[in-house]
Amino acid sequence: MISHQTLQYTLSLRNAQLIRQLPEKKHGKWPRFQAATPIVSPSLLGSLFRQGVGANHGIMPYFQNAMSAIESDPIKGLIISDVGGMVLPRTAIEAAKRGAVPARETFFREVTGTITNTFLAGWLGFIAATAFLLKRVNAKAMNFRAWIDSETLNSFGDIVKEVARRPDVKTVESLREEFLKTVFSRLESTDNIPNLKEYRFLFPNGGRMGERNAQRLAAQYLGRESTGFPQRVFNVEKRVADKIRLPQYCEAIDEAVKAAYKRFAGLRGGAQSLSNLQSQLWQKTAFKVKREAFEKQKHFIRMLETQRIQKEEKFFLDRAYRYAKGVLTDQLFLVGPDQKPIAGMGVRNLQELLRKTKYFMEEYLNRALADPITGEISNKTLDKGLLHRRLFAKGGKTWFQKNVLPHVDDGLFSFAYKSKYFIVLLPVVLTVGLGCTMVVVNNWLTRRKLGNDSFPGELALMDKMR
Amino acid sequence: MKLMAPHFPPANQPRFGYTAAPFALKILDFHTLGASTVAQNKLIYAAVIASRLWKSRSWNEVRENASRDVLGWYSWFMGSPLMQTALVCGLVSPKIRDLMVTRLNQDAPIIKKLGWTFLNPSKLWLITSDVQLHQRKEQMIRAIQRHPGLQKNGVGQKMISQIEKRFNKAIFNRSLVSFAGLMFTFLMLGVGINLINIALTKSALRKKQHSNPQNSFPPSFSGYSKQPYYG
Repeated sequence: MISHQTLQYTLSLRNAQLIRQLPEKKHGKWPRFQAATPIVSPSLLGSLFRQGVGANHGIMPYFQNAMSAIESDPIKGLIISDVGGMVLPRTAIEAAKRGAVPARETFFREVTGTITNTFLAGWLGFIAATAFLLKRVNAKAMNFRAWIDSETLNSFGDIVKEVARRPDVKTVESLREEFLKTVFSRLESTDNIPNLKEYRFLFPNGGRMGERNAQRLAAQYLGRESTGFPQRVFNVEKRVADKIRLPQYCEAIDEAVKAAYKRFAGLRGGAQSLSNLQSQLWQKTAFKVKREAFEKQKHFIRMLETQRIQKEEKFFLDRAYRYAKGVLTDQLFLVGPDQKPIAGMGVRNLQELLRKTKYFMEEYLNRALADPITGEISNKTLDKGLLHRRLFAKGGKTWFQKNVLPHVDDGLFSFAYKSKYFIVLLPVVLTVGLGCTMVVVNNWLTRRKLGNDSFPGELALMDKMR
Repeated sequence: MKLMAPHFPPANQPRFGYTAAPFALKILDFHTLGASTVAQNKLIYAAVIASRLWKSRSWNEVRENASRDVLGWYSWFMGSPLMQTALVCGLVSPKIRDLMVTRLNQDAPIIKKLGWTFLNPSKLWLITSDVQLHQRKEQMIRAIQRHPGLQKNGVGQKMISQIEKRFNKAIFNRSLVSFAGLMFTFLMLGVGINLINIALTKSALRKKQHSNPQNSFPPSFSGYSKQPYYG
């Protein structure tokens, strides 16, 4: 049951403009929630005729909202221009000018084009990332649903290296804090408005957030400043280390060892007591079995915890976004140490960068800094060599293992990049293959219809010219 | 239960691996998992165009595919940004333009600038989105309301009304520019290229017919006229 306050909060986040006033309690009960009257009149034609076409009148708010939605995401723009500019008009023109067979071929070509060009790679990537929930392919239990693109990951990695080199960064805690502060203070809005002569005095930090705001936002991320919500950047390793001590997980590990013992004894004729040599052999086997069972449980708990955190993170990220939106705008550059935008990253969305910073902390930095056994991030002296190894080292023995296959001994970055070959590059290659196959399928369908392998657009015109 | 340490590279053997993302990943990686990116679309569409050209069944189809798809590729990815940049930099009044454009890389060599103008105009002129204009307007109004020096004699109120007027105009212009960009892409992709293609194929066939009226169309095509679709 959602409380009234939560409902109000959620609605105010979604569209504060649509709520006129908050209701009051009557006879100790909240009144039934009524849909708020939108500020813009819902009748499109009525508004158009009453107020005429002009800025903020009549149809214009709807028009502006539609344009804003299309412009907010380049992929949305591509899909709309594909359907509205290719699929529909091209099919209609072919049908009118050349006839049904060329129109059918055009429709099939354009529709399969839309699916392969704009959707398929994404869908296949999502399926591949889902496969990475399995322990067999994801030995380090990384949560790829907490997605960080390679360019952003690369930039964050550079910032970690840069911060770790600073002489004043000596402890683990200072590294975490300085990293966050550096990222937030390097976000710069893409617009030119803060640099205009007439408005410069209203933006003391230019298009950026400024030191003080970056520090406060970093404190919110680290849970030092209360945000009103329990969510923040979590230390997943600590949660896993705490959970694995719970009886149900310990029992599961013991069960696995017992089952292995039964199999071991069964292979040796079901003897109740093992000989001295057999006992020694069992000791070695038992350690391996225990380790495997432990890793399996740990993998399971980590996957469970990361997904739980991801489900609960919305309130925290919304809060961080509203805080950052007070000084920044939605479209940003991440600037490098030379104070110029990082070329490869291009223009990014504020919400996206705030979310990815959180994921980076949880999946990479915290994980590399946490104690491997207890999961604690204590304020100890920073071991830069260890940090570098845990983040960037390449595991594996053969060339294939070192460069292609994700390996359990990889550093977190290397593991992520290698996994991305399968989550990103493989789907793109498959999509290219499928897109090219569709061309052959289309030609085959036309051949079935016509009885010969000819270009129907040409044939239809010939037919009309006869 | 005794806890076990996770796998990490052995401490005595530092093996430094990826400190930078591989090039292909930098270009093609998803920004959001499950949603393909513009760079992926460009690559996939280019590969599909190549396969369409490869599997063409006549020279007329090769020409149609080449003009439709190559121009289509350019119009699809560049049409709207090119039109928007041209409109904002050329037609919008200078007072509004200042709010709508950020000039970048102005010190780049002229050859590079020329290339960017037609292939990636956002490298030179970055158009401010309407969401950004809304956000900046709100931030400025809030800053004026908090500014102690602007509260005397209604100076702040006057500034706010001027800012609202100027920004509303800019937002209105921004929406129109987006719409014009979209319409330009629609026309280029859907109508323009197709009609030109049909006209060119027709004229090629006519030429063929005039040059050899006896045997202009191969006999294998003759059955096509009996198809019910072209009555």
